[in-house]
Amino acid sequence: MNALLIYNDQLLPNSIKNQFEEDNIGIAVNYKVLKSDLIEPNFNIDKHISNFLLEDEIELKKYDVIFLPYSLSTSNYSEYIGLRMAYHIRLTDEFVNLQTPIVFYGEEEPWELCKVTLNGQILFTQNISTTKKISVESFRKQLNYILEEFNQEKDDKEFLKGFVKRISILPPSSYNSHHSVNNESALLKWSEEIGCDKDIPEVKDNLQTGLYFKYLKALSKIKKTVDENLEDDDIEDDDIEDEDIEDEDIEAEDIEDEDIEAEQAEDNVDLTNEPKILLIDDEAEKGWSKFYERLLADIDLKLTTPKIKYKTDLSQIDVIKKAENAVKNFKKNPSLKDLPHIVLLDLRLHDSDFALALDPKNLTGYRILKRIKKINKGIQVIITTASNKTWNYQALMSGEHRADGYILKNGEDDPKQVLENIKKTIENASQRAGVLIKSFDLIQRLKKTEIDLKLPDSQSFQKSFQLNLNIAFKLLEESSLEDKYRNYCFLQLYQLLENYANLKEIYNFKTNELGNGFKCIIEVNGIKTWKLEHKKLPDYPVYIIKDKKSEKDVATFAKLAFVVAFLKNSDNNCLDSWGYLNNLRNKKVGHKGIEIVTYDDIFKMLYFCIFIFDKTEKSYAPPIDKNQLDELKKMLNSKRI
Amino acid sequence: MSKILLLEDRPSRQNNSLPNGISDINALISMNDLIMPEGDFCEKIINSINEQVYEFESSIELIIIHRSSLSASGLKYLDNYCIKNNSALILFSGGTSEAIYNDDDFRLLSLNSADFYTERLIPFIEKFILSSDTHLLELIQSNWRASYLLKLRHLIKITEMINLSGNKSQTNTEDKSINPELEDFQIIIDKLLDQLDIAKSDEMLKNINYIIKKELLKS
Repeated sequence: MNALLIYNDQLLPNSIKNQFEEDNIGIAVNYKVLKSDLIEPNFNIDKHISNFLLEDEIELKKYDVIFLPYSLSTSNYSEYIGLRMAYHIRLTDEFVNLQTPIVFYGEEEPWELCKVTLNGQILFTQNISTTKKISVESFRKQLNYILEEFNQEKDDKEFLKGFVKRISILPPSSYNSHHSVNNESALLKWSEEIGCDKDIPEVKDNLQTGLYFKYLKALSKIKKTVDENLEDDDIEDDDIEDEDIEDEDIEAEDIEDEDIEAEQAEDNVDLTNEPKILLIDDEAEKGWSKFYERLLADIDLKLTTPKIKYKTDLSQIDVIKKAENAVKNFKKNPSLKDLPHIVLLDLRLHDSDFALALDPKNLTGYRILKRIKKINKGIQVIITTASNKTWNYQALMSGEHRADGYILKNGEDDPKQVLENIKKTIENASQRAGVLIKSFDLIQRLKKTEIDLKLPDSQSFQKSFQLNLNIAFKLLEESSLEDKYRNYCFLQLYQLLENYANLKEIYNFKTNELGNGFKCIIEVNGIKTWKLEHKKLPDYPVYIIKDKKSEKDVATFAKLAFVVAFLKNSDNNCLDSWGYLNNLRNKKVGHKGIEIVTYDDIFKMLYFCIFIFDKTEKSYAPPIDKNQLDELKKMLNSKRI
Repeated sequence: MSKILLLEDRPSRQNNSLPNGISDINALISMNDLIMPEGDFCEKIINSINEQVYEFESSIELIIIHRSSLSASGLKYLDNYCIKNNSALILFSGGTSEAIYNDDDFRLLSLNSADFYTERLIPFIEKFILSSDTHLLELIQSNWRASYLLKLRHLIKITEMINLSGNKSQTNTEDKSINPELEDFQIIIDKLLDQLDIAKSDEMLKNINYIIKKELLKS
């Protein structure tokens, strides 16, 4: 006979245990939690039970029946660890006794057990029986009855389905609204997928031995079976659809994809040596840091993790400040090139984030997101969270300080697919980051320029100037979704110049130098000339640019050329650049809009704007060689009449 | 009056988990016989426990501490201290799945942080300060009397069963009381009766199921 008797030697006489084995009914194994076990640093009752079932004296085999007492505790009898052990017997795959009949022995009535513990539910599941008779004779009778009457086993999945339907296991009470559960199960599954699970022994231990996680695993197994069955039903349809696709179509699709990738590669302006990623996660040390390091190594990205002691005596504001400083002091240098390109930011970083009914905007992660975006809106912030609440998602992905990506830590979905999506999210953010961080910096510089306008409406000009710059950055952000927004951004910046050029008043700046009635002709790209006339307006004198031949008011192109040449005292090189930008606007972007400007063109435009609007900016970037500049100045002077 | 030492290295959790937040913390702080160091001072004490050099006040009868803040040597140090001084020990941690109690050498309760920071904490501490005999299981609202009664019933049945099998296998002339196993169980039963403050009688033994029912219905 092949029975297993589990007992506690302080609750069952040795004589029964001895006779049980002497009569060859099976083996008897003593279980108890010693005080020495309890003072182990990582003691956990589920781990203790799992180790008992898998690692101690019990032979790993299928038993005919398992005799189990309700209680295995002596100090606090009603802990009813025997009931908990029965759940482990059912839900531990490696123990291979999923369907083995369990006979509980003890004086307890089911109602008494259910009154004391939720684990009493297991009494009402399949292949469970109870006896109050605690004797070898009774055990033998029970075993014989089971051997004679026990019907053939069901399919394991069917049995498991019936079992989990009748039970419910609550997560450990400090696992806040499934957040920690999802967090840990995602970490384990994803780490397993990329083969770095050995780096997270504590989490692995917890997830492999914790009863709640075993329960989740069983639920997921059942769900998978249902999904597989549904997929099987769909296979026929898929096959038919696949046959309909001709080889030529597939080839054509491949070529198109290649072209798109080539175009994207051209547009990706890699401004720094390599993208840098910062991980802000209170569970980083638990394993997330190692997981991301390994995952990102596949796509040649590097990650660092600031050492913040989230779980000590830090207030929420302390955590926020430390995270903000980690971004500012990235690589101990707050200059532009040393800002992180991507921040992987956990949403809940402080104990206060687990309060019920907390407005998502008060979550520590959201408040850090806002601060990062104030440092530089181009830094790509990807929120990582185990919370699947849609209102969190909506709050984070909209508004002025919105996140640039969202990684939902969920161990239930197919890890392969999930990890592909994560890599794609980070890669896309990495491509955007270089351009956006630099653009944001240039736009900020523009916003800070004080345009010297002694005009009645200078305030409104300044207002629209700031607004146009904000819009330009938003359009640039959008351009990662659709290229055409790059053109719109270019046009928006051009609009700044156009508005400026249309202010007649700006031309009265050097009246003394030029002298009343002074006329000049300027030439751009050697193709067109204009003359400049001095006019007296009722309030002040200005110069008006007119087409030399037609004497009509001329376009922005000419006006700005005048600004470049006379207001900024610049050279022909600069005039040529303006000619190039204006040409882009007219031929490529403005009217037909078929072609898309490059990010490089956007930068040229931004630098040109800085050159025009920033009084301190003496030359148009990129700076040119001094000798070359002198020569150009001479050339320019010679062209002025 | 008995003194309690409570060491929590994550005060923000204390604030968030206690039902009345800061006012509960203030209530704890105001208790003269509860020593609850904060911030760096708390960290310093925990470090010195882990380094096995901390000198406890002699009158500490209950130590409550966040389990995860302790190293193996820190836990061993507390174990030795509690054995030597017969002090009680409560270890709370977010990673603990079920509350486990042990009174082999001293009273030791291991429980989850969420089960520790409840509305029962302050009344429990107040009661313990008044009497160090207060059962640690009262902290988790576990009906310890019911638990002891259930164990008592189990052991009574076991002794009956041993007696019965003894009757079957032994001659009438032999003295049943020499069965050492029976004697061991009898000692535990007597101790339980003492703890429950119940006099042993045939009437009580007959009515044990009723007594348990009454006790369980209370909880």
